Amino acid sequence: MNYVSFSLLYIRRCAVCYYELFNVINYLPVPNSSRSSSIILRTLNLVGETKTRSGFISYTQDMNLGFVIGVLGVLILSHAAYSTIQYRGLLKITEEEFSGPPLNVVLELIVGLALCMWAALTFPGKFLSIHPDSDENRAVSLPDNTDFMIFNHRGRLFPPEITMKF
Amino acid sequence: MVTKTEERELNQLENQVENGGGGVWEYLCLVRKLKVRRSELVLKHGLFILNDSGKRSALGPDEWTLYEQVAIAAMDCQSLAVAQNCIKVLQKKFPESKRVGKLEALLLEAKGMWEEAEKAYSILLEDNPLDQVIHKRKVAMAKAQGKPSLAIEHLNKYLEVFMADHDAWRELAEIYVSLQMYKQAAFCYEELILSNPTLPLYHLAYAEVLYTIGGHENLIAARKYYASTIDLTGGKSTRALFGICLCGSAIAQLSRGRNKEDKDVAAPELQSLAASALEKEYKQKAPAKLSLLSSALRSMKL
Repeated sequence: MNYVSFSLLYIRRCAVCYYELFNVINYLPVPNSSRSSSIILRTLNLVGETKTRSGFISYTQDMNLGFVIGVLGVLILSHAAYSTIQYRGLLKITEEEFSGPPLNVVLELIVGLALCMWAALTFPGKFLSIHPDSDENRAVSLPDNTDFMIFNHRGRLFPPEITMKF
Repeated sequence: MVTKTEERELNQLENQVENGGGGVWEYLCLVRKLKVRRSELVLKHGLFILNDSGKRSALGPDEWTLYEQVAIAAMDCQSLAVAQNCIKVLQKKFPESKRVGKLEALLLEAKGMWEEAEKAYSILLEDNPLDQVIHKRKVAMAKAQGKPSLAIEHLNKYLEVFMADHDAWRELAEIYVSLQMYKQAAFCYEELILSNPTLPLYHLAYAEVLYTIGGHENLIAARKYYASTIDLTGGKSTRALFGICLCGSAIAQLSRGRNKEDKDVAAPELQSLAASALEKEYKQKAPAKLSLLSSALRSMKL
């Protein structure tokens, strides 16, 4: 009995996963207006349309592949849950004792876990460096203290030749 | 603070903009975000956008930010007429705005009308006595008039109220250094390190102040802070590597007459490590100047 409840729980978990995934898609900033539909379309066609504008997350082929693999992993996990229920039913009919999950379910669980993990690591975005000496984190100069900016500096004697008027 | 990647991005955009490759608005945004002072370029390219009514209206509400940015850049380049016109446009759009009021006072400063600017700031302060920007402007005005002691007085008063403002601490440290009051500057840098312990530039500045003060203990402390800079930058700070070498030779000179108990244990190893790191870096990046470096290192080791 508790195996059935376990698989039911698993199905629910899968549903939650789906929901979360779609949430993630909806909240990601997308450059063009057709938000979630465009990414799903692109995912299904596997067209790696890359828009590399600073400030936006760019969708690369890699990430689309990650998304597809995530969906595949979730499907495999749900199939594992379904097979478990079926196996329990079979056991009831043949009136055998439950000794352990069948091999195909175990395999499916392992494969599903691996695929989902891979998707979770690639799809949401790139990892940021936490090392203080990496290029992203290493400060090379401080901002000029613009609040204390003064105008009678030596550049005053040589004003730039800007002919444009406003 | 400007990180290495951001600096690279800024330089790349600057090149692109200078060669007419577009991306002017992105460049101006980045300059604003990183708070770097590129007044001449901002004035040139900002005016280019502002003079083109199509491009200007494409910005939407960001247009007014650009007016402000260009106005300040124009003041920095002494193009006061441009600044005046920008402020006039802003004044028309936002009458009674405090922000525009500050800009007007800033223009008075740029013209050198100190008393009028002072008056304008005190009127603004009456409405909001805790306006940080205006207090800072008062300090800057004292500095611009060549009265650093007055600036220090103002800054100290300001820091009693706004103790967490590390920009102000930095300014105070820089004023103290310019007046050669190194002990006070060291105190300011200690505050800065406390407020931002992972920023290597403060460690470096503190080490330099300690090295300048001199004395056996200060030199050892300076070497520690140079070492922490190297630690935080992953050995990519050439200045800190030179600092280690200089500290090492200065300590060796000082402790020459002393007895052996005082002798520094870490010195020879640390110094030679820093020297070899420097040599490696020069070999990679500037092989032509390697001979200069090795002669300098030789003179340091004595």
